[in-house]
Amino acid sequence: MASIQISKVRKSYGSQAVIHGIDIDIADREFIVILGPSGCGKSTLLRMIAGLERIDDGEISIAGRVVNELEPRERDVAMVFQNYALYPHMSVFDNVSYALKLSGKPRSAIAESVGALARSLGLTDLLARKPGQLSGGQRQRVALGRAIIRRPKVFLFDEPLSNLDATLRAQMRAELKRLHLSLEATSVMVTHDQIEAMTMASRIVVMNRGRVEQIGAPMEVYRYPQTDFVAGFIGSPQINLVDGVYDPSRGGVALDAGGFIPKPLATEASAKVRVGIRPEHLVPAPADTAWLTGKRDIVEELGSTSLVHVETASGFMAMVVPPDLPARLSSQIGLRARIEDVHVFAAEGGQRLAPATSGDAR
Amino acid sequence: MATICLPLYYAFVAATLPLDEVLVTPMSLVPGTRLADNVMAALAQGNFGRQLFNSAVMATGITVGKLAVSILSAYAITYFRFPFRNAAFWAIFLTLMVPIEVRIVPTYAIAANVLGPFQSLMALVGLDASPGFDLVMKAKWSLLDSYLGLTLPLIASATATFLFRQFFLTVPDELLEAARLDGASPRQFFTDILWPMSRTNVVALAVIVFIYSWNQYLWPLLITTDNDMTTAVVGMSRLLPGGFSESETRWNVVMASALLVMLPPVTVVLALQRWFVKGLVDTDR
Repeated sequence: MASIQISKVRKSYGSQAVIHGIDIDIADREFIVILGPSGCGKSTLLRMIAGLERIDDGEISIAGRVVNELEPRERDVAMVFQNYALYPHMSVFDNVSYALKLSGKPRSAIAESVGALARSLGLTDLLARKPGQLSGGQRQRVALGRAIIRRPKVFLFDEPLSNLDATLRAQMRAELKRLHLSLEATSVMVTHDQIEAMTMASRIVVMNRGRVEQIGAPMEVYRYPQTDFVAGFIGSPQINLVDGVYDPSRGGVALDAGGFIPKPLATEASAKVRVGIRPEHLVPAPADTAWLTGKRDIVEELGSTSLVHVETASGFMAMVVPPDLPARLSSQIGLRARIEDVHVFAAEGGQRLAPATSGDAR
Repeated sequence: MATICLPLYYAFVAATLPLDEVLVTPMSLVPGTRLADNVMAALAQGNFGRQLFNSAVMATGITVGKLAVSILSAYAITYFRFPFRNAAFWAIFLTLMVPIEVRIVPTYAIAANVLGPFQSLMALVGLDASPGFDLVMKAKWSLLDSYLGLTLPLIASATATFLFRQFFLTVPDELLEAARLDGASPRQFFTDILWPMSRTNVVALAVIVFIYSWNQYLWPLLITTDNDMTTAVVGMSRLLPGGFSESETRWNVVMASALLVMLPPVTVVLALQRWFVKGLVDTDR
């Protein structure tokens, strides 16, 4: 199939720059998920790969061929749109086979490939229907079918699951991943849902304000967020971020609102920092070993775990604990974590600061 | 309902009675037996049969021409980026405000000699005196008393262009993008996607335009002098008192011809009504 190289790509609408020089190398058969908040430029980037949006500067190549000036149809890509964009006046059969018809395939060959595809997607009984007569999940399947039938080099997905209800979304997530594996194609998906990104991607590209914040495998991005933005965007419930000052003489961070986190950094300079600790890494601790303490606030029972909110001087902190624990907690709670689970970012710019110990080199 | 239908019924009754019964006051409201005779008389009068045919040619020509021109120009100004696109749109939009009655004199002048404007332009820049342009200056191409003259000036229409543009704007952009990714050329996008999607709009507009052109009175009256080339509406009006009719107006025959004139628009509405309803009920847009 195909690899994709995106190098120094820029885009602006008028004087408003939306993509500020992006470099991504996508390997053959990878499932890349571009993740970011709305307005971060992720859809624009996807549309530039598809050829629906002009590239102002830089270069995109698919399978070693620069595609900047190529029409969408010459790029050998297929796209699944957020609202499916099915042709409303055409039957499912015609929708799925339109690309084949345009490419001049004989009727019998078209009917054959549509038949095979419909069987694999469970659309056989729906081929004569119009999109208006289908449910959301069925439309989604037709949109997928329309993309698959051409056997393109690259699949592009623009928030394909966001119009589905929660149950269906979980189901389609698994189905999409299975599909990707069986098609052995290169896929690029855009989403703002970090669960979709974590579960489906072979690598995640986290974008913010037209820039790439981090590229990496899902667990790598989760374990070693390179900026405080990535730390805040990946992981649910959200990471706890508190401000403080790194004190090299004490080998740790003194929190602005009181409390000390003994996390030594590689740097010898004092600096304003932001400390991030995930809720699942916080544990209750007795007052003498706690890094910071606070008042117990509300408890959210999630079944397999419970989420305890603690009101500290630095603001609310969330802590994930076993479901039976909250009943035994007193109203004053001390908090701490393992040193290696503490992330420190520069207050200015948000870059990750390297820890002193070699065990956590990244 | 009764208010709308009563005059029509009255015309129908009058068309079925002999002349002396029509002139009785009050006229009978029970249909007579002379409908066929009166219709035959109406058709025999002047060149009414030929005029009905003229009307049909004109109305069909205007409808087809107008829809074709306006859907294509709407496609151009909605989906293509070209220099002066907005200017083109506004130029079309401005002509919307000028009905035929206002531009009728210049339009007539052009129809009388299509080459006229070019000749005046040439005269303006002083080309008329130069040798070699003699032939051009003397040439004359008149549209008077022709089907082209009846239809062409009424085909240009901003209203239909504007309506199609508004409809095209409601078509989601993703459809165009999906079609581009599927490999459709601009022409294929138009014929395969946009045209089928606008079908109900086209039908609705066709009905309106057909009736509008069938009922044209002023323009055919001006541009045709030959009784063989004028339309049924104009021809019928000549049967009325003060027209070109003989001293006594034969009201029963006039009503019979009125029925004949009404027939085609009514048929069109009835035939295409199903589509109207479909357009209203169909939600899969």
